[in-house]
Amino acid sequence: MAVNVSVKKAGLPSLRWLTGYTELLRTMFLREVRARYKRSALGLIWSIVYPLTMMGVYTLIFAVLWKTTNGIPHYPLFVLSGLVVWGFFQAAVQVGTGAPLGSADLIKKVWFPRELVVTAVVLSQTISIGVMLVILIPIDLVVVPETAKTFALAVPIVGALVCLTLGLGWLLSVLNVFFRDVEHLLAVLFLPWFFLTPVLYALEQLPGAASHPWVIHLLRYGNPVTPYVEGMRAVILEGVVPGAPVLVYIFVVGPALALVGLWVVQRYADRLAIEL
Amino acid sequence: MRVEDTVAAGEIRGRGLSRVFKIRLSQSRSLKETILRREVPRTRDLWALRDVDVDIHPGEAFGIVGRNGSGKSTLLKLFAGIFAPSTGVLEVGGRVGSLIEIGAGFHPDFTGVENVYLNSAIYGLKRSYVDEHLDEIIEFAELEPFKDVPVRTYSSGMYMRLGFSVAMHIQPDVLLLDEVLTVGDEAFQQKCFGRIWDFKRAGGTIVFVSHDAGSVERICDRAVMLDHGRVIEEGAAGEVVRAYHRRLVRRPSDAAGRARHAANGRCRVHEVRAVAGDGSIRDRFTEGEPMALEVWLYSEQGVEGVRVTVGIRDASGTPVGSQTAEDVLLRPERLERLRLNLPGLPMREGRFFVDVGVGSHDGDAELAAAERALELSVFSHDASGAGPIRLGGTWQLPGVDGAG
Repeated sequence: MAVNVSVKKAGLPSLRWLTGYTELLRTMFLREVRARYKRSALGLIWSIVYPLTMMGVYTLIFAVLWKTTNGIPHYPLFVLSGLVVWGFFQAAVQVGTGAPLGSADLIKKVWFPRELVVTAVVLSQTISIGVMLVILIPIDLVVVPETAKTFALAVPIVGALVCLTLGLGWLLSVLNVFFRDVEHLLAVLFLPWFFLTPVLYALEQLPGAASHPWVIHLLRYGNPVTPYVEGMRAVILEGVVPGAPVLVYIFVVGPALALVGLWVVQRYADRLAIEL
Repeated sequence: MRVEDTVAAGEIRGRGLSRVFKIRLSQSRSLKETILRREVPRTRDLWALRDVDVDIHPGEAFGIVGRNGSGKSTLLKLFAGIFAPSTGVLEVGGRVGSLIEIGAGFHPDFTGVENVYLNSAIYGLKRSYVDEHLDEIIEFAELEPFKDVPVRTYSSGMYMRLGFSVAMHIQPDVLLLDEVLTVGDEAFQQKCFGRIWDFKRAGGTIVFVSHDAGSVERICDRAVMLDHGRVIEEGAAGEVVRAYHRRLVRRPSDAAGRARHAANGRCRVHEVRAVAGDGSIRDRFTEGEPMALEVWLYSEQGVEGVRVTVGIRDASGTPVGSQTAEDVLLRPERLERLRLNLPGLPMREGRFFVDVGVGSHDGDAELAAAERALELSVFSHDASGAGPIRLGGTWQLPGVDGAG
């Protein structure tokens, strides 16, 4: 085996790290899973209890007291299906962005494909969305029997969502190495971002939707998380296949962003060891 | 440019290697500020390596010496693949184990055992291989009681031991070592040296970087000396190390090999000796003992305004201290004695070397130099102290009355 380290020209994103370093990815992933779910006080239980608690709170406020949810059936399940997607997205992007800093010592001293650092932490987050879906889907099946025909689509949607998250994670993690406040700006940004994402409401159900159609369009396609929230909700709660625009968006934007993110990581792999 | 034939395991071949770093001139590492102030991050190019050719053969121990910032570590990191050369072609054959800046590269939050698995996976080893050798690795590192603790809690010695143990057990073809042997206790250093020798005997390639030119000489067959990113000396390790020492005593790093020639034969350091308080000439002292360093200089011609610098370095080559006498007058064809009186020896324990440099008043020309002109052993009578120097000072403790 000879390693040829010559000048790397920024070409197309390469996927060779996926095949050549499976053992390393597995080691990093398993370690991340252990640390996140086994060692922390409540572990996996926490990642179930937290969204359920939030569901209870939102239901109490918006459905029971404020009564602003007219027209949305099964509001608790509606909120929960959105929270599952958003919760994964937020947590994975946040930890992914900070991941290279945590592994600085490793990156500075040995070579391995840098994209693995973010990949491992993002993939470890799929455990909680997986567990939540395993709990949520059977309940939805009982409440809304029509979902039997569509719930399997949740798997490819989660796949595309993981791509979207990886892509953003890769991009932001590189940016965070150059500008250390990206992580913190992101944490601040996530709150308004959450309210712009239709987790607690449905875009069409908003009273002002009809008079501001372009705002609805912007909120739906300008916010990359929205189609995933709506798509997931359609297949696991409403029992319908999402419309073509949303489907295309889900399966094009996610993988495309992943490729862009991968290109950026590979393009700047060299600089990471120096800037860290 | 491409090297056609591939290299053998344990071989390193580099052609025209250069590496440029972009040094950021603006201090800001904040995206918010960068955007608000609309400042374009300005950078300056720094060439850490310039046009280096290198051929290291399988089974060879190869040393790299040079001052801080000469490009040693950059070259080592190129070999490790941590970053690529900006220009040139580098080929490294086989598995490369590296111990750069102490430690093989660990994740601080991972435990000792987890890091062994992590590192092994980075080097492409199967999990089953690590399962088999895990106990051996932990045992060699003497870390059995700490193996399940995150390595961020390790001392630098423990960190180094684990790094060394992992690097030796991944069956590398090339081992990159950077100053590692200066950390850790002496017993473990001996163990490391033993392992390195075994590795070398078994045909492994070693690339060793150090300021401690003495250990480069001990371990390496061949060496290069780097200065400002260029190879300025190449050959048998002993010769390169000697050239390095000659260069070290010249104070301004670039100023004139020219002047040296002109000065040759005109002036020399005749003798350097250490005189104890009772007047006896010795090379062994205890800490805090009064002593004087005597420098005997001989000059053919009379010279005025000479600067004479006496420097003391420890066994690893790290300067401990120096003193310069300005405006010294050397009379023609006479042995002149300079005496530096030290009321109390500031070093605590260890072997030390005395260097003497003689230069013109403006520091441009070197008149004479003597590297390691004298070797001193210093012993401590206080086992509770630590480190290379005697801290001294007096304590003021909470009194029985004042403590209330």
